[in-house]
Amino acid sequence: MFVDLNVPWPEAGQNAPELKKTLEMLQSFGYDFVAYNHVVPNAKTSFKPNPIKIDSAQTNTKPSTETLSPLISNAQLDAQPLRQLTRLTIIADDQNSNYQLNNTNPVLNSYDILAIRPTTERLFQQACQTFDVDIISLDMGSRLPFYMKGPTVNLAISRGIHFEICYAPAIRDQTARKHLITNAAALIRLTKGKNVIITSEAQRAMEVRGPYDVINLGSIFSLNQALAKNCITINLTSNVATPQQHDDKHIKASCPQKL
Amino acid sequence: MVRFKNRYLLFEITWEDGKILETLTDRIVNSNIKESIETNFGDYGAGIIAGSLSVKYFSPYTSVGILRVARDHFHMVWAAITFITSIQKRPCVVRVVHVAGTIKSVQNVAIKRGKEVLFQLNKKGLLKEIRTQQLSQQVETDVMALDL
Repeated sequence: MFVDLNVPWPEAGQNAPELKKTLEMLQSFGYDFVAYNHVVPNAKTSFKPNPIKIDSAQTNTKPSTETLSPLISNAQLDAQPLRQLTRLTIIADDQNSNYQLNNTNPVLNSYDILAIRPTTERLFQQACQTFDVDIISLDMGSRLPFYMKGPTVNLAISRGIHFEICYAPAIRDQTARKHLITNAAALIRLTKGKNVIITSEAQRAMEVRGPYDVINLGSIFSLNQALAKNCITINLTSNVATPQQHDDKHIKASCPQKL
Repeated sequence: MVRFKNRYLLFEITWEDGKILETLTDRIVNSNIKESIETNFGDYGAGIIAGSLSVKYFSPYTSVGILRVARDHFHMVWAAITFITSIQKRPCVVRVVHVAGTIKSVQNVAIKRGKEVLFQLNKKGLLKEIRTQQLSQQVETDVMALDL
């Protein structure tokens, strides 16, 4: 079961047709799960209610033939509908503010997956040590303002937190590609390939790549094939498809390797 | 003496505009792949695969192609293919659908894949029935004629 845990949710109606194309592309390439990602710029803006509407019509129908480019195979037309999750990413840039990352926050509970993007070293440490999140996402397409340290990263792994590598910036832009390879290789050296997820963060449909192409990309981040496969697959014996039933859904939904 | 080993990658191009351009040839695809290797892996990358990389087959109708590369470097070539964003200024995604070690198995998959795509095109009314049959006949003869 291939999963893409970062499909950006369009802000206030913009780019909505592109999202549809992206979904069709993901489906035709053989992905089974997607997570819509809603990004909140900082913690000071009080959390707004979850804007993501899971469109059942969009997934239960087979990909519409008009918009899809003609190159999809028979097998893919018979594919299962995409299963959808919701994800919130908070960009943390101020270490003094209270991020209210606890189980009682109703806004956070309305999402399946909670991710944080720390922008300073201090916040990165805090995220690894104390924040109750599922994913730590770093902007790997640009130069990181700090070094990731082994003990900090190990602590996050022992708490079951996953680190995210988004590949779309590397496809968009050549400088970003360089930085992404640097950062991803550094992360994989520290984690030894455990608790790493690879996602797209594709703003356009043409930035999506097939799951096996992504696994192969892992090989240039110095991952081996088996570890790279773990980074984008999900084990279906879990209950991720119906995460609402679980109190600790955050953790369940985001641990593709452990479930 | 150990035999020199190759990998055959069967790739498929998905175009953003979804059109069929008959002028696209295996040479153009080949030069695009080499260009991508040069930008991503530099002179070393371009040099190390120059002896073995070649696009053996490409059909502009199905956008399915076969390339051959030395086994030691196929991960690099595959990554370079993944980083391709456009060919002749048409945005596209190149996807590897099959990796094979022998010519026989890649031929089988290529024929199956090519026919599937033609069938889809026909179903959408982009190709006429007779033309579809002609082309799928042609796919079979072209692919089987490959002597790699």
